[in-house]
Amino acid sequence: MGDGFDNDEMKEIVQDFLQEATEMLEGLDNYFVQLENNPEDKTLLNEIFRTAHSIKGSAGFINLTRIVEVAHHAENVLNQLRSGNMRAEPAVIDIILEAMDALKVLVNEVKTGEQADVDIEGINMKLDLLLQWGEDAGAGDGSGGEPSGGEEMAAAVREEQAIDRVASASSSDSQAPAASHEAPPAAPPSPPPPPPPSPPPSSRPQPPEPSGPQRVTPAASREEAQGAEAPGGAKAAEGAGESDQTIRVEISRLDSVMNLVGELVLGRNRLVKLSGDVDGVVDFEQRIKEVAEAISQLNRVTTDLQTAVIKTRMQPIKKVLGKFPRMVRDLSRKMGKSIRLELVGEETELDKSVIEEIGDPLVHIIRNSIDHGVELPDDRIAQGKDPEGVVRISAYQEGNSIVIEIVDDGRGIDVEKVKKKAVERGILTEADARRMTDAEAVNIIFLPGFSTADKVTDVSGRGVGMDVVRTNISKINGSVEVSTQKGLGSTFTIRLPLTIAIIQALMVTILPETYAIPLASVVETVKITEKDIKTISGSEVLNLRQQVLPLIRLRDEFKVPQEEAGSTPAGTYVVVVQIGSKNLGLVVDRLPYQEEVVIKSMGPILAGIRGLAGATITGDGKVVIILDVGEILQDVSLRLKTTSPQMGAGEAAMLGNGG
Amino acid sequence: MEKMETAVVPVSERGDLAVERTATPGMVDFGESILQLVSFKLGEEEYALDVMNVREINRISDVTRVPKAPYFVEGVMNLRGKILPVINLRKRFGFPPSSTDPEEARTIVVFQEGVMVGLAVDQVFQVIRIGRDKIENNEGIGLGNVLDAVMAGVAHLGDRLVVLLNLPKLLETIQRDAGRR
Repeated sequence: MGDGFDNDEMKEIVQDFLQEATEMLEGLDNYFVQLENNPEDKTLLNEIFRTAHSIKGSAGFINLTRIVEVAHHAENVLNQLRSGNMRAEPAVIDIILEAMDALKVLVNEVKTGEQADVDIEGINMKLDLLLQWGEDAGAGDGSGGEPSGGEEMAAAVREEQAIDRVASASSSDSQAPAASHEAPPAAPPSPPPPPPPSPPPSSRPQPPEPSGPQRVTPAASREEAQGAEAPGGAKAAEGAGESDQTIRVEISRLDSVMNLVGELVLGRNRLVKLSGDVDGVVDFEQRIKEVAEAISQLNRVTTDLQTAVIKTRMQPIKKVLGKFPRMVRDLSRKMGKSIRLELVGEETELDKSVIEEIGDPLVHIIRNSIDHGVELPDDRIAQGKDPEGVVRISAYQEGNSIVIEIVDDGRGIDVEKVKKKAVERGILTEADARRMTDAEAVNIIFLPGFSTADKVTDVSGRGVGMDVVRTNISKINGSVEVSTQKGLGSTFTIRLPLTIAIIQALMVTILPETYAIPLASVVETVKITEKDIKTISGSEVLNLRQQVLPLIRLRDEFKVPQEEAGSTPAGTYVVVVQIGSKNLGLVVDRLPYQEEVVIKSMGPILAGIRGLAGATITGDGKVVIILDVGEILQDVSLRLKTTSPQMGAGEAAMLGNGG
Repeated sequence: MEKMETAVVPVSERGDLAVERTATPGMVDFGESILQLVSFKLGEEEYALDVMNVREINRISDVTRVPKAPYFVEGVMNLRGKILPVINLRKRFGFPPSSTDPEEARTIVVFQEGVMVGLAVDQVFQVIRIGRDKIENNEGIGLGNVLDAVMAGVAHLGDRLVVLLNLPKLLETIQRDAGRR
């Protein structure tokens, strides 16, 4: 395959296809969910048809025959929907979505180069039976079946699919599925479909645009299809890693970066000129003023440039939210609930790295809302609520952070039950539970090993969950909280930094060295004296407001050389850091200042060092090492676990949980 | 090319030797029989790297120690906004600490397959042009394990012996040992 293109060109084409197809398939998922609610929406139907067709077209162009095969069968069904011969019943949509899932797997197969286990024939057959049923129904009563027809048909499909595969031949037309003229000819019972006479790829003209409406070659047989696809898959696999490492940037954003760089150069030239001809300067005061002006201009330009570059990494949160309509549909169908998903602020932008990390926690929270939050329709009616529940995800910017709220109008979280469970599981003492306000108590659900679910369901409630959510969000320097009103619903609020490449850091010195601690994981700092430090079975701890806080001395941890004796006595501060529910105090000498720092990698040779996140360059040009608080916490709790098994259960739980 | 092909480029007063790589390909026979080497000293011994591997040569300044790093890592340096790990070649080869003037110390910035590293040496000596035939291909002559593994050969310059290092090998072994923690 790919004759006429060199390897790179082919690789690029495959890459483009993969990206395009992935996006389109995701889009299709949502279209279908919308279609289910508005089965008569012609514009939507046309859009769906166009999208499906261009996936087929592009796949055909690079000879991904298995994808073409499924897409083609699906397209036939879509054509029926579009021409009004079939209605978009949930049961019909189920089968189409199944086909979409198969396409996703097939696209992924091209991406990874690993043969995926997809029952193409099974899916094609279902689609064809659907088609045939549609035709029969269409022939029977003119247009569209009655509402119950969908289910009836689905049952028919389920029955028949095991019997034969006659219908699979109905797809052998190689014409581009053009207008909605008469339905495809009735199926001649002769599997497999004969390969239509199509020119081999090599004889095709040089690259036409891949998404154009080209003629498409349906697979001659599955074997042949696989044979043809294998090299493509292998080639694509080489580039698979790359595709995740590229980003699409609007030209206008690059232009603004370019402009600012232009201004930066101007500023530099101005300074160079000012510093160059000092001879013969009479008015030094004037000169100093000019330099100050130049510097303030540079200052402004660099700040703008920083913002502009960060913007190039920003992507709309739609990328993550896009998959939820489908997920919510499937889950609520499965659980017999009726749930409407509302998305607000999909255009809100987040750094690419944050986008990549936020998907899983969101899935968890939404599943939780659907499973535990929203009630069954009958229960809702009994409580005087609308039988259809609502889950709303809204995203917006607030100052320097992005807020994502997940609101449901379900039964809310039973705070008393949460407290009770927490006491039962030893997460909380009875006295603590009584002291806690409801707002505090409800956040217990983020502690490890906590689950209120009395029964474990398929969807959630296995007792791992909310603590993972919090840990994952902490990893990207974000936070999550929940508030609830019994009977009215719950609100999860996630706060995320705009970017994680630039962070606020607390500088700490362990004389003579300086380190940076990401401010997001710092809870507080405390000035102490040496005698405040106590030991519990050999480990140093601090008694901080009646809570035992394990300590580590960064001087020992990092083997910082002692300054010569007689120098100014070092102060002692404890920086209290927290990741998830774990706390630790880091003992340092001084806390000189806070700074906004850019995290830089130290390169492959130094990349693997535990406890170090990278390095940054400070205003004076020095390199400062940034700590990875999460890793330090993990290592310390591991160490405490192994060295002091006799520690009291309370402390062990506090120090070692989740480690 | 009968006489020894050497040319000496003095290290400039400022101590920054920019290696003009663009100038070299125009020279006669380049790449076939003539090698250009950057030679440097570790104590009294002379070592050399192919000029093509060398990005730039800098004074050593403001190296930040990296806790828990392998013993031969001197630390990290700010190279125009990039973080440059600095390897102490002496420690890497297991030599005793330097007794030479610290003012002479330099980092040779090398680049190999996406990895940029600074090599801390006692002194950068000269740039040598030398015929390939003057280099004795000697991959390891029993000088100790670490050095043996990264030797490409020995250049004979009159009575001077210059050990030519195999940079890819050197970086590979460094990376291997760094990952072994």
